Amino acid sequence: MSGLVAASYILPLTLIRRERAFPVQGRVLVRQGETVNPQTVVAEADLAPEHVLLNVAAALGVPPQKAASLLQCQEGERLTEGDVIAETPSKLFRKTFRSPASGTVVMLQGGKVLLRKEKDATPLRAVYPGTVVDIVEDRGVVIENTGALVQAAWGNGRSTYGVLRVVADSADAPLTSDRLDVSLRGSILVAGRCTEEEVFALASEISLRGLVLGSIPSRLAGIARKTPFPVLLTEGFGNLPMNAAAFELLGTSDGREASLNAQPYNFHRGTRPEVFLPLPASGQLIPPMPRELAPDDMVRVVSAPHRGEIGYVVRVLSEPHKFPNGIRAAAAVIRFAEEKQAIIPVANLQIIR
Amino acid sequence: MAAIETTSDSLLALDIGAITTRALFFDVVNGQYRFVAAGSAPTTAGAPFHNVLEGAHMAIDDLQRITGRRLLADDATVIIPSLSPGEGVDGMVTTLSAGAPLKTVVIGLLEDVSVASAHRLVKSIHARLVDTFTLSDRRSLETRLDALLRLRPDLVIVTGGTENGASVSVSRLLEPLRLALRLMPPEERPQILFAGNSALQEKISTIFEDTARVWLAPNVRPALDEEQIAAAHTILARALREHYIRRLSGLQELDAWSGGVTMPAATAQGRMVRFLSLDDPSKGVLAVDMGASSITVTAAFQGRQYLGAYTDLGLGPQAAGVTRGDPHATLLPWLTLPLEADTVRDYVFNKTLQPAALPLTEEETAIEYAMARYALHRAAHRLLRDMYAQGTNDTAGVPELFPPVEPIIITGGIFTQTANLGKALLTALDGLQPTGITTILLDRYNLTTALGAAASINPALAVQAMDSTMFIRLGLVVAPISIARPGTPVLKVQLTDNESGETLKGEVKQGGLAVLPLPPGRRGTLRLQPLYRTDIGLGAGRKAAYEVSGSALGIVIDARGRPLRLHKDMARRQEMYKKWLWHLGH
Repeated sequence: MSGLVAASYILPLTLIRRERAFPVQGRVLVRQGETVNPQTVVAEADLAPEHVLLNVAAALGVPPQKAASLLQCQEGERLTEGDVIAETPSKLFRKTFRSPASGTVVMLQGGKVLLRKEKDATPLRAVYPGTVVDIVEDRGVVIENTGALVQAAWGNGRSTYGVLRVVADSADAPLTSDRLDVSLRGSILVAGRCTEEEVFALASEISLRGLVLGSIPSRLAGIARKTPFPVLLTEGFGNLPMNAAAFELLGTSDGREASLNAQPYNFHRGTRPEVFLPLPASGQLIPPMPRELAPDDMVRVVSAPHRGEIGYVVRVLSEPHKFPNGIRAAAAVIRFAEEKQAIIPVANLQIIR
Repeated sequence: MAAIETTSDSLLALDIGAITTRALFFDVVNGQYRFVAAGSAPTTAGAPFHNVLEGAHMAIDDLQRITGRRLLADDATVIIPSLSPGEGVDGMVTTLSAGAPLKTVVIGLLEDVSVASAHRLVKSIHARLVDTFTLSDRRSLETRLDALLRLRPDLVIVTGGTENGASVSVSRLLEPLRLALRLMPPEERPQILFAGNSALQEKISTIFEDTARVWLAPNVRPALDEEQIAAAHTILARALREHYIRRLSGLQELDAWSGGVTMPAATAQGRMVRFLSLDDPSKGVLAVDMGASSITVTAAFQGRQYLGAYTDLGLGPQAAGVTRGDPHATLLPWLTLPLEADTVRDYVFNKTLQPAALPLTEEETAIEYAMARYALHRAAHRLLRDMYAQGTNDTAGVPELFPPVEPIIITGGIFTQTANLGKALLTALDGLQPTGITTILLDRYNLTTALGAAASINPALAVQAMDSTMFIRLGLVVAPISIARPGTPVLKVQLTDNESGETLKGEVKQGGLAVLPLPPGRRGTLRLQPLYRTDIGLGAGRKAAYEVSGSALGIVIDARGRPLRLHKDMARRQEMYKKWLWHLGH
């Protein structure tokens, strides 16, 4: 088995390139080379179009072919509610067919008109400040920037940008509702873990902008999903502290601005939720790439035992290792704090730096 | 079976799974095709590579390291055909289960007739049903049009009309699709598979020829009481190939090296199982692949194939969906350790975030195997339900059970990553609940799938390599069906080792699991005498004697009952599970 290992990066300074694009065709609103801030709308699209099929022929009481000749609109034309779509020529018994809604004529066929109703387009914000280095045709952009990056395990699908406020003295400190007050309004909170349901309700009340935690119990997953601001978990579900590397980076970033993209982990695309803190950098940086595990790599363990612990690779075993429960897998010897060592399956490791 | 000529062609089979890409090498050894070695690497369909070629290169590279054979040229292409001994390969095939399942919409007339058949067709491929339009659909044309534009399906399956039956209704149902295709950008348009009234084929082609890729398949429901899915499945496999070539970077190159033989893994497994089922007309064949992204179960009887590829039952990113709303409540009957609800739910939710991670602790191992047994049971149950719905005679007469099959081939991480063969066997027994007498074979490298694809370019290889000892024989399982009360003797067993002459005798009681060791390479004579009208797959009370081969775990008498009812009390269940594992040598 090739020793290529999954990666979830925690990097104090790196180069990122992030695609911000719709899955459907829309309109790109920025140009290549343009500098964008997190609030910049880079593209817009109609994600849930609504159409209405107007049977003009039936409404006017004429054959379809005749109706086609009476149409006063063209494909692509914008109509407002009440605009005339077709009219019979008779002066005495003139019949007029008007548009029931504002929208765009998308198709004319056999005396019928297909109208796409006018709706506010869904905006796509940049979320990441930086430079547009590429345009994804009709869908979005690729943004590039330098800064610190903390990739995580779970996100509730929302995104924001704001100032980080660290409300935990340690990676293990629980976030309780008594730590929340109005002075935190509009900030992105960083804390170790949270087991209280009330925290989410209170955080919504004081209009928190985001929440970065080590873990929450899975029974709170539904609440976190419905929370109106982004929630991101560095470790996942359970009662685990934030891993030391992430806390070291985020814990010392109080007052710094950060992009919080809590997109859910996508197994097929391999994308992860993350916190990005823009920083100026000099010199050439390249985005991190996955590679084979090697001695001295800093890794995080993603499964018990040692789940959430940070360690360093001592050596990668040349043969699959048989674990006490019968699992046989490619493995590595990992050194944790206080020189404690353990053999961990490669599948349970993530390179973080 | 007719003899098939052996050529000297070697073969590279690439299997791109959701998590792992495998490169398998087959060659002629002593005049017979043999599996030689396997290399593997992580699949690289997702970030940051977004190119399956990377993982393929790494897997082939791993294979080169193991075999010492040079397969990749300096320009990183596979050397085809072989140039000299130890260099290159004569042919290549690719199988695929990576990539997001195809979002599929079904359009058909009647829910219980052609639409039901179309749904079964969807379940036979790596797909996810996102909507169905039928005659009884009360939604307006516009609503259905908007649904198509919002859902952006990859595939639309159109069925309806028996042969010489309805045609006007089918055409009317297609109107939202016709409009949607005109409004979609060309690169977002779904492929269309028409598998309805064949009289409509020309019309369908005409309607959609300018807007979509149309595949025409034989009617899945030629008559109200007749279903034919297999032919449509074959056409659908070709549609899938085209879809993934467009969606997965790097697959086009692999497909070119494979001479166009890129096949969905489920299709390939199905082909091989169907082929194997022709060998013994008295029994069917069953195969299971438990992957991260889906569970595939294939049963075949004299060439009649029943295939279910359940993309919602994979043990990876869908783990939370497998266990539905409450993982603890769902898995409780299958758990063998008393665990808190939070512990179970946390593990299942985290499994969706780290699908490749392996369980190591006693608690996590218990949850993982509970999930596997439950998911396999659901997959088997669904296939059986569909077999029943098709009105086939290939069932055991009991909706929950398969008829006797020989053999059962199991593959997938949950079976192959454990060195504890007893646990692998018990998982298969609990999930599938076979009846009668059957051999359980462990396919460590998913060779069944590779050979299913290989059969299309080298049938001799598929036949000979399958005949060889490429599987681990886990055990010969005897699963009697009896209505006796637990604790009542239901089977007298006698096993004589033909070499040593040593004989083991005993009675197996209802509810028990017993093992008679017969190591691999040894042969023995097994005599079975059912008691109290117990059925070992031959009819109530009928006894039998067999020449049997040895296996890793020996002869396993699974008299725990069919359907299997695990004890409701956790302590008792835990005790029983430990006891069964102990019997199985672990």
